[in-house]
Amino acid sequence: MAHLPCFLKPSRRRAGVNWLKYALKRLVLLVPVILSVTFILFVILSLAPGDVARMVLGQDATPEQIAELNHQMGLDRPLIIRYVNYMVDALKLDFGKSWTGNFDVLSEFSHRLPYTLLVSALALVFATGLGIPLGIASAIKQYSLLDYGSTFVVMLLFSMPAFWLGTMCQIFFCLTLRWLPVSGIASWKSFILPPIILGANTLASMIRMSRTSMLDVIKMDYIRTARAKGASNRDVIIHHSIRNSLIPVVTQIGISFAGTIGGAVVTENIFAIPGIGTMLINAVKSRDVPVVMGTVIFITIIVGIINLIVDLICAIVDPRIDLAS
Amino acid sequence: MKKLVLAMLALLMVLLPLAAQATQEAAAVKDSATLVVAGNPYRFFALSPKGCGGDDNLVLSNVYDCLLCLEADGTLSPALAESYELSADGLTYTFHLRKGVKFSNGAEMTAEDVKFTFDKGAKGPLGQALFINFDHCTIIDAYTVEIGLVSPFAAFPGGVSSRLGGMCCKAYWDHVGDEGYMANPIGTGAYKLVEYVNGDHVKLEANADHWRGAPAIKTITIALVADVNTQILGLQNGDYDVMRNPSIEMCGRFDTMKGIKTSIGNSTARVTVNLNAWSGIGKDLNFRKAVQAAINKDDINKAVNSGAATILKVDICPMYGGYPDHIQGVAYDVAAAKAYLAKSSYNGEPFVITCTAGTTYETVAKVMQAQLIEIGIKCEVEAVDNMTYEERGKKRNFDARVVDEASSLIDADSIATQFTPSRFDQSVWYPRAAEIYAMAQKGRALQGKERTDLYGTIAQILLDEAYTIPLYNGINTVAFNENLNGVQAHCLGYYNFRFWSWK
Repeated sequence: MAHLPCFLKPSRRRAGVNWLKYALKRLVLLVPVILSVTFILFVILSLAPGDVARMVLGQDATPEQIAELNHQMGLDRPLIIRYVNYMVDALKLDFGKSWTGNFDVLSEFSHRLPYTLLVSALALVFATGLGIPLGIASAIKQYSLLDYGSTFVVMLLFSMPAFWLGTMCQIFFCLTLRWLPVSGIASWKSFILPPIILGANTLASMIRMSRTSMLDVIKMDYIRTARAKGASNRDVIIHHSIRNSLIPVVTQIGISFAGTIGGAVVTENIFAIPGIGTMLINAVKSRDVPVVMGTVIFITIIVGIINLIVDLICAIVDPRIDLAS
Repeated sequence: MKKLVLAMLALLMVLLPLAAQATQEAAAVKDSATLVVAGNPYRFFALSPKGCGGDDNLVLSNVYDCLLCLEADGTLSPALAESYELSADGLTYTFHLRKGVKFSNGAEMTAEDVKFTFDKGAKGPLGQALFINFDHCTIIDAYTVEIGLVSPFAAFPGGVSSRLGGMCCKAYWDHVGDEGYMANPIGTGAYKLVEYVNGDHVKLEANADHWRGAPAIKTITIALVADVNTQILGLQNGDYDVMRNPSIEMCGRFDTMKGIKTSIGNSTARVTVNLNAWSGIGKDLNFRKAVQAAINKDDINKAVNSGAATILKVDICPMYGGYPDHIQGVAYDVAAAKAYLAKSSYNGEPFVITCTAGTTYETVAKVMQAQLIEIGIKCEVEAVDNMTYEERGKKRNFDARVVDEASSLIDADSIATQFTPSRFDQSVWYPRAAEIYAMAQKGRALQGKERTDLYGTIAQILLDEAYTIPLYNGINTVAFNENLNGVQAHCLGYYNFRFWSWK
């Protein structure tokens, strides 16, 4: 057994099988979540006031023309039948066409998702890349100018709403300095401000979480033991403290990433980024049920997968976590 | 200290190229222009069963030409038709087509395309509103068509120049159908649609073979940006060249800024208040007249438009055909309003003004609220989203409703819109609606003073019954780079890019 490659060793194989089972279980559990969310959403949208056909055709359309369009959209059928038909089609990856736009829902979502993911990912990189080192440094140099400074930054970032911060940054960087474009996706410079705005709140969370977590860890007995044994400050921090302090931070990263996908609506609106956030908002306003339903299903799946990945990473970082149980 | 200096140097090395590139971009020669709008045009074929809407006009008015052209001030001029005649009985229009006009796919426009456009357009969702009284289109020869009406209608040329009247290529449609035409529209207009990214932008390219001559601006980009602040900042820093419909207040601020000019003009829309006259306190004429007399239109105009709009005396815009300028409106009179209220059966119940949230009409409603409270009416404002607002309007579920009523035909005939039988449930209708609608139908066949007098009578009924309270003529605004010539506020909100050129 000692001659087997590590990944074929029984202990590793057992761990791998556990992970697979755990992942499959989590993915299967997504199904009732998707069904519940979509059903509630479908009912709300169907009961909300507004005649989509009349809105599409205009006020001067005849009742016959409106009835014909209602029939084409399936709006003359009972709610349950419509829902079931929709979900059956969704299983075949047919999410329908927008009622108030001229596009196929799945292809439009596929076209827009990369922009939202890019902005969200860059926001996360910004927040974690800056937030974690800053939080850790604040904890190590507690009560120093750096510590007080970062606390102030955290309070500031939590207090400033994204729509205000976004506009202020546009005025300074785009209008006054003219370094960056105000909006759009025309060049790489368009992807500097939006992730910063989107990630600002997450940055504050990262700084705070990292600082708190690090402070907890460096007060632990094993850290004192390591120092007593003669380990340098650098060794104590890098080899003993950081990994343990990152466990709650990794969880926070996962939650934040899911949050940035949802929170991208405001940022996409301000910077005119054609992502899924703006698509969803416009669809809700115009009662475009296929677009809302399709987008929500996709987002639910994405968030579910992200949470799963985060849990798996947590299991790697923290060996105490046993996925089998 | 050393680390700090190095860090600052590194930051400077990153930021300097950004600044340099910005300067280079500003110096580039421009043969393109960018119009920024909130909204999303997506229906590029007006004859499709799904019709088309306001935002779609941004593209339609440039990709397609009509037989007649609607100018910015609401007048009509020859376009694809060099001339036309109207028969003595008012039932037949004969249009003489311009020869040698080509669609952007190279096909020549002939009478067959005109017949196709009118026949198909009349059957669509916009046909009833824009091709009023249309009966048939007959081809006389390759460049002459006759359009027959079921009964005369003086404003029919307005429909001819509308978005539904953009000439479409029959042969191309036979080949690609509605969906294909929508995806790749073909017209005789000054521009061709070359790129459409849903929710992001539309790109138009100049049609070098346009019958009026190639436009000066080669590429027009219509940027779709929902956030108004972003639009304003983009115009100021040069990302955009033209901004659609900035507020009047913003126009005032733009006028003080270097490099930006504005244009303001009357639109074909009228902002009015529709009062409930079929249920509850709305059935009481004295109550309605109390509301009518309590409204100070000047205050509303100052609050909403900085006083820039034209106050309306009647529910017809002055630019409409058939406008009765002899009718005097109802004056603002608090004493008279209180007297009417005292005579009415009002018992202090809430009176709700419905409007669309986040628009200038919400401001209108709030100013009205204050004015009605002043005379003793317990008034509330209910600002709702657009879909709910339309639903309430359709079901006549309101006490008062702030309405923006536009007229694509630019004609007094639109006064009958609120009284059209097919639009609303007959059980919740104005008591004299049938009479008003019948009179409006009669007005379509009249001409000259007779027509004006009839619309005057209708307008007077509306004032006497206080069914509607006309407030002000809508305004269209546009802000633009001062180096861009030819930008003008159009009464229907069109942007004729063929007039634009850089200094």
